[in-house]
Amino acid sequence: MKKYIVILFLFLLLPIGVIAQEKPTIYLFYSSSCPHCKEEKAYLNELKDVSVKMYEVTEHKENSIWMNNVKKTLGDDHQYVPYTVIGDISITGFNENTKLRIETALEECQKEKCENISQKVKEAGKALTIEKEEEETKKEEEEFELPLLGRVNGKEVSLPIVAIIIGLVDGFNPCAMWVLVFLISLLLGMKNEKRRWMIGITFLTTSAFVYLLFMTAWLKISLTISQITWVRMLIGLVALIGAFVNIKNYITMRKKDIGCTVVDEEKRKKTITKIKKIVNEKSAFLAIIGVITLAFSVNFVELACSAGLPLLFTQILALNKLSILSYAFYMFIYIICYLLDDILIFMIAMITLKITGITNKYTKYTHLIGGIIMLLIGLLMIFKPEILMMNW
Amino acid sequence: MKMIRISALWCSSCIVTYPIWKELQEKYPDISFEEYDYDMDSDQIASFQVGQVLPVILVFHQGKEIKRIIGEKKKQEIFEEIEKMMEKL
Repeated sequence: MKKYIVILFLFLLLPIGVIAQEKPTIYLFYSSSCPHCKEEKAYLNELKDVSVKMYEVTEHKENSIWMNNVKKTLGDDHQYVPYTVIGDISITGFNENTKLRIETALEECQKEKCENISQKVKEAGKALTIEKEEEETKKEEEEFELPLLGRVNGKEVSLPIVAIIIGLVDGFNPCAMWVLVFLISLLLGMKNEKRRWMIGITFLTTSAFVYLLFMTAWLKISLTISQITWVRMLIGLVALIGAFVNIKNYITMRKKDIGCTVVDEEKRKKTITKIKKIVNEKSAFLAIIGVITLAFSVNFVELACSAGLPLLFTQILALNKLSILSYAFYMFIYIICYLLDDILIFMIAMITLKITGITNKYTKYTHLIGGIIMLLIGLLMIFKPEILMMNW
Repeated sequence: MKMIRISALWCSSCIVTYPIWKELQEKYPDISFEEYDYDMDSDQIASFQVGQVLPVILVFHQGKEIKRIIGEKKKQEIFEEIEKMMEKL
């Protein structure tokens, strides 16, 4: 008898919440003629420990009314299906990206009980207004006080900060710096001030354009392939390899003498002759053409030298759902930060007519910082990609 | 005694350390100083076998190389090395 009492007692101790934990419910509003809806239905049917409720909206008016009331309640102002609702989280459309969001939403609802908005709207028979206060507190948690900038929302600020940090680290990479320094050294010998500025600005703008071309191309690729999980994992792995190479460079550089490394003799001599030709060119038009081709060739070399970082940054952009304008904006920030040291050196030289070099003492640290950034992003891409989705 | 400095127009470390080279010349007026560019004077410097890192300061005494300072060193480091070497002569 005592044995049963003990068992009963133990049974009571068990956190009942654990046994009777309610399975999260997924509401899917779909149309029978929609291909993505079919895919999502097959996907949802395979999920374990969830209860799935599906409602066809084109042939059943009451379902369509209900769906629109849910959309109004959650602030989704569109007509698209499939439309998935988990607790108070809504997800439109179906692809690898939304799969990730469904999984994240389920995790959140398993951790913390979610308010079943769809059921509430059905019972009310009309759209509801969610207490703003709940949304306010969520927004407040993401906000913090920054000197000078004041109150700032973490979600909105993180992408620009990532663009600035990675852009700056990428920019301090000395790969193509020597070409600019050499170009400036020769420009300073030039009497025609206007021509000096024209050639220098053309070199810098072409460099920015080449980088923009490369990042746009890579972003286009990322937007398609990075939705596929194994591709994202592969890119994460490439990032980890890049991290290893950079950190190894840092370790070997620490033992070496600091200074300018004499790069490939042949290539350097060719570039030097090209630059001399440009600077001594009588025709301004030909000089501009020459400096554009120089900037193109030099920056393609630069890309190979630091392709890791811009590639990773465009990968982060691809993971975030942004408009084309936002993509362009963040790439613009990245490229400005990337060119910042070049712009500074050029401006100072043109104004003071004296060339200022940037010490190479800290070059090794760009390898270290670049390596750590790649390590972080690589790990996040493989294990926690949703953290990189800062824009949701 | 003679000091030779090998640098390059494209080398920012050479630019950053050039003022130190100027100060050396002021501090030791009775030593002869020569400068060569790694690209423009490649023939004259071939025999020095400069290596992969610039700038390089070579110190010659009675025609023999007695000291080589490689890369971007701090002013203090360079001055100390030169002074130690002077004491030995």
